[in-house]
Amino acid sequence: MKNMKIRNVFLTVLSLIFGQLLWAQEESVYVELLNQSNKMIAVIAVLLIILLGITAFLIFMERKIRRLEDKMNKK
Amino acid sequence: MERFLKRFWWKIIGIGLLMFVIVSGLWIPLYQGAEGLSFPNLPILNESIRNLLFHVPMWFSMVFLLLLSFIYSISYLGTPDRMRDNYAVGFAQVGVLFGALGIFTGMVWAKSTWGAFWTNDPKLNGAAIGMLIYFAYLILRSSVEDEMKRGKLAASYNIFAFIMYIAFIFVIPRLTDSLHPGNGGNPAFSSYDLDNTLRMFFYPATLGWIALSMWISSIWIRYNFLTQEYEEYED
Repeated sequence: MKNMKIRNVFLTVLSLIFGQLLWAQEESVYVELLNQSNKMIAVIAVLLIILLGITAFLIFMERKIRRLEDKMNKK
Repeated sequence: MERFLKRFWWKIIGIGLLMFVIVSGLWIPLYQGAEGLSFPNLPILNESIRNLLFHVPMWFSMVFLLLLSFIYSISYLGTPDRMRDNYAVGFAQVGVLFGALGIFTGMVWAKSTWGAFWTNDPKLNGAAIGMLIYFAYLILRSSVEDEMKRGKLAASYNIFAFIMYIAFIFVIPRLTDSLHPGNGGNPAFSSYDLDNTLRMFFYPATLGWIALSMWISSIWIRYNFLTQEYEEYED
């Protein structure tokens, strides 16, 4: 049951992230120009790296604090 | 609240929403006459309209956190306990951080649309005064030694601060001329340039930024609580 829940959340997040990549309609000239220059991809990549860095730091802190809380509760 | 803050699912969803907003918010083109998904192509705003997915949700996150801080301050005055005070100050501190981020993204936006980083706009000045009110709240807390006295004084001040802040950023700008949409008789974003495509990304962005701000707050509050408990244990 718990695994099903996690899988559903994971699939929802995945579909939200990659939904735009599956867009099958005709693209405008603007997108073609940006794709040619690759500048927008670089901006998106940098922002994603920053966001993932913040996420990794928060997960690290969360685990550390949880461990300390457990320790304190035992005492 | 404590149990909710420790849960993991909403944090993952929040980060997922932010990833979705960053990728699609920067990828989708402005309207050029071609069919397909596109953002409104408005004069003056042009490409900067994408900042709507960053600047405004950051302010919403700040108001949400300050509201929680306000609620915890009221509850602290009813039942004084350390955890409530911790929640009130933690939410206020992270709220101020998101307020600063909101001001920074707003300044960049103002430069590209109004031509200057700071204009004599009642909303901008109101936001600056509001931030100063909250800085005073944080300084006030650090100037009182006694824990109980500090908690009560800070909680009373926080109630005043939140009401003043709302007046400065939501009420006063609507009474005078303002460059911001939805103020001084200007139509709000929703009535003329927040179309349905933009809405599809604006709402997830709001939820995502609020989730991130809550996650940071939860870690900060729990860290402060642990520090206090440890110091007490050492004594």
